[in-house]
Amino acid sequence: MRRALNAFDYALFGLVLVIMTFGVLMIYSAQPAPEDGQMPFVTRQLIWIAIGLTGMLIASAIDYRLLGYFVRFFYVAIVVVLVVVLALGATSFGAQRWFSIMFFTIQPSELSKLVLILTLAHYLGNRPFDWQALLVSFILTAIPAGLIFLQPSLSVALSLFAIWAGMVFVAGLPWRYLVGAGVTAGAAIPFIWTQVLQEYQRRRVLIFLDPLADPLGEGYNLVQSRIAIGSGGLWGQGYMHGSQSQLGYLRVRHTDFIFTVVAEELGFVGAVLLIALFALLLWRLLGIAQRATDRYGRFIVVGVMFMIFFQVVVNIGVNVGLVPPTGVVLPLFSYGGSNLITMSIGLGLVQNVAMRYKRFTFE
Amino acid sequence: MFRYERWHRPSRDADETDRERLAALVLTRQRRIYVMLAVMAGVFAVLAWRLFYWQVLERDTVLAMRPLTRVQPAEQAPRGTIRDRNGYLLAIDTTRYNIGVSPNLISDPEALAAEIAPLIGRSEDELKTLLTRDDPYVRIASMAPYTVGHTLANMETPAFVIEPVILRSHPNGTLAAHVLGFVNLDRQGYGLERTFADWLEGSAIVCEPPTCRVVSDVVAEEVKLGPRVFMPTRDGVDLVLTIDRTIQFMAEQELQAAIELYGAESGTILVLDPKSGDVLAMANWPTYDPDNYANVPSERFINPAISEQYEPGSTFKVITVASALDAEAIAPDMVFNDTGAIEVGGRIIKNWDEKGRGIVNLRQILGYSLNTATAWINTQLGVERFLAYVDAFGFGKPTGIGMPEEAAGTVKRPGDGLWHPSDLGTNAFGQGIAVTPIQMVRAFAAVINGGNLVRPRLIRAVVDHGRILEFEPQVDGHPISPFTAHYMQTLLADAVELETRTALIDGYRIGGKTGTAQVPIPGGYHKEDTIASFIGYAPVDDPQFVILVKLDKPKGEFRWGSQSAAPTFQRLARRVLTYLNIPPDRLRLSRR
Repeated sequence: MRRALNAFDYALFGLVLVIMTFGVLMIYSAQPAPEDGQMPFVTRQLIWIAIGLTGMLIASAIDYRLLGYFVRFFYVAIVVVLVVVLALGATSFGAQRWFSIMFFTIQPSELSKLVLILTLAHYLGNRPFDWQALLVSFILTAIPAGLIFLQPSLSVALSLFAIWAGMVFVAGLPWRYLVGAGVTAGAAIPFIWTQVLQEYQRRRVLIFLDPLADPLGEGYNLVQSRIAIGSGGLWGQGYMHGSQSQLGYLRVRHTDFIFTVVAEELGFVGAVLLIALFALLLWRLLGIAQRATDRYGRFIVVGVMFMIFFQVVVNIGVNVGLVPPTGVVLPLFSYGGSNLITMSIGLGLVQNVAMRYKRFTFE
Repeated sequence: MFRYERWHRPSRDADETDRERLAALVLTRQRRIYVMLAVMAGVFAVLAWRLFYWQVLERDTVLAMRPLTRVQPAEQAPRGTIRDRNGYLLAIDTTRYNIGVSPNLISDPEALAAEIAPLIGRSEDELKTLLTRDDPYVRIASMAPYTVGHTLANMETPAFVIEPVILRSHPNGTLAAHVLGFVNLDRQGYGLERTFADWLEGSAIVCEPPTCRVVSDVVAEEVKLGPRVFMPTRDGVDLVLTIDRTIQFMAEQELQAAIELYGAESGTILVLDPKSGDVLAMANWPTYDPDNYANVPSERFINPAISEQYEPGSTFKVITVASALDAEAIAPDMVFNDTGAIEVGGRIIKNWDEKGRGIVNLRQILGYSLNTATAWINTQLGVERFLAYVDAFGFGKPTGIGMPEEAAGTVKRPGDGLWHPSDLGTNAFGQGIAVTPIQMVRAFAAVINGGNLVRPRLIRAVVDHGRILEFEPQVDGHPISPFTAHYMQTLLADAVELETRTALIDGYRIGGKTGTAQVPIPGGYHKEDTIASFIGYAPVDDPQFVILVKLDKPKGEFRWGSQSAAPTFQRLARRVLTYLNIPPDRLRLSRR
């Protein structure tokens, strides 16, 4: 353990702290007035961060190889929970995506990402990669993803597939299959459009393609975020001085659109700095993945990396109008407990792997 | 361990050693990692480029999408004030308050009700019921005075909703109501408020994209459009009238008294400065309260002094005589043998008492107000010259006082189908011709002021943001020569002294002429109803004012101008002389 502590990746931990701190500062700037009797959002976020960091330390303390023994249990448990949530949602009030644990509410769909990473890493890490592995890993992904899609939460379901795709790619999926998958996906678009997507999702995509068609309705936030980003300019309007953000033009500005607040108040420079921080974090994860000595550990790191990468790209993509609006938050940065805790635990697992690879090289 | 990779990397070469295969696998893994690195870098580069595109390259285009600036309609610019010739306020905007409450914000309705009940002027119980009503907004007072609004606004209760309301108010009440007039919310109205609405009102807010776009309140509320833009407004222009509020007050008081005393239906008094054309007073009865015009019949808003046409009667003889003298159709020392009747154009014209007075001169003709003599004088003048003088005196067309509701009067002419040769005779003493009071007083002023037809005016100056723009008196022509005018000046004084003693003022010499016109009805004239009038001026040697008193349908013996209008003139003129600090003639003339 001591040796493991010596190998603690301080750079990774430091990067995470920097991003979280940055996020807290921006939430402080962007936070809407809390409802009566509620703590301000920034205070709540600090509590979430404390919980997340604790979860991160715990996740890094328990040897990930030990966790491998419980992977089946985790997987079955999360699937059961998702089914229960779905059943509850169907019987009670609408889409019940939240699951209360004590006074916090946690989205089980968020935790399912971690469970899927562990499951896939364990599965792919302990057997040769072949047709069977590809198929089984896909089914392992599709079960929770399908349940989550029915909630409905398209973005989380997609992120599960993104994790799977990233891990399969690193596992060594031949290029020709990648191309084939791309062509198949392209051909499936009309089917997905008419059969899979629900009406509200279709409308979102249409509005995304032309936000000015309904600038005061569905396209409102897209137009407002575009204006906000544009008004930021090169150097920004100054911390706490973004006119669009501060005057409440932007909805969900402390969660989904926090990047827009950064872009408006700190300008192009601040926004690129934030992107660079995430790039550094991902680069660091890549390094850890490369050095990992066992495939199981490497796949864990790759899974977490893809989880973060997917969210960062989709969230920023939404903010800058390259991706249709989804409910994806900026990991470690946006306000919100479920995602923060998920990310923290995921990075704890990465830390876990990073702390332990040296043992094999020197022993 | 590398056996796990066999599907991915099937052995192409049977001789390949495990070591080589392992190396190849490591290479593949490395490549995959680099591919991922490249993909991530590429994606982030796209995001950064997008930011750069919006924030730096296309920033202006993006910002142009922000036209949603909300215009806060600035508080209505204050309407200009209206003041009398000495600067006293006649009309000014004041602020009143509509006061409402949000009952759910009141913690202690009982205490609050007790506190504000005396201010608002409602009973405590009544107020308490209002304050506890289950409504988001309850109006508790309308048009509360300024002090009440401010007292409530300074109370630290969040429950009050206090809206200012701008109200036109008139410190002098009904004074000069017909002159001032009013405008309603649709900018329709009467009087100077209407005529000079464009000047009095502050300029409208000019709102043009892209600096400003008016959005509907609903949309503005929905998307919380801001930041608000306050557009500066331009204050209205102040009007300074020629009216003197004191003389106006005297005129209105005397008019009202005369109407009561003589049982008249209505009346008008005009006081004009004959030299400048300044209307010093313009009084009408009945009048109305411009602060409270809602329940007044709309015909009462029309200003009779400029809009009502009437037959001037004998007061018009002044014009006839002055014209004939000026044209040298008669000589100043002419005499006329009055037999009590004369035939003009086939019609017999008689005096008012149908008596003849023998040989009379001009002083007697005017003094006794002889119809026969003036008709004869007009025959000496002739139709064409008479009508030319009538035109020159400004009859038959508006005076240009500057109010759209002004009437033109009616003058019959040969060839218009209504004219009859006998009209030459009747027009001479003011029958068959319709004039407005303002036309009459103006023509009379020209007769005694040296022959200048001054344009009557109500606006002396405007004050536009501190700059005073004074208007010069205007002269619209010279109907008679100064010589004739000077002669008329004393002739009219002599004539008044002959018989109309009711108009005379101790210590001052005045000149003037009575008029008693029968009221025309279809097919002739009414037997009893008359319009009694008197036009006079003082002092005779240097006229400071001309007063026209016109009383409609006074009763009994008061239907004669000399019995009602002349004494009214006398009372008013005496007060005006005192007010204007004009010394009695003896004192004044000896000082010269």
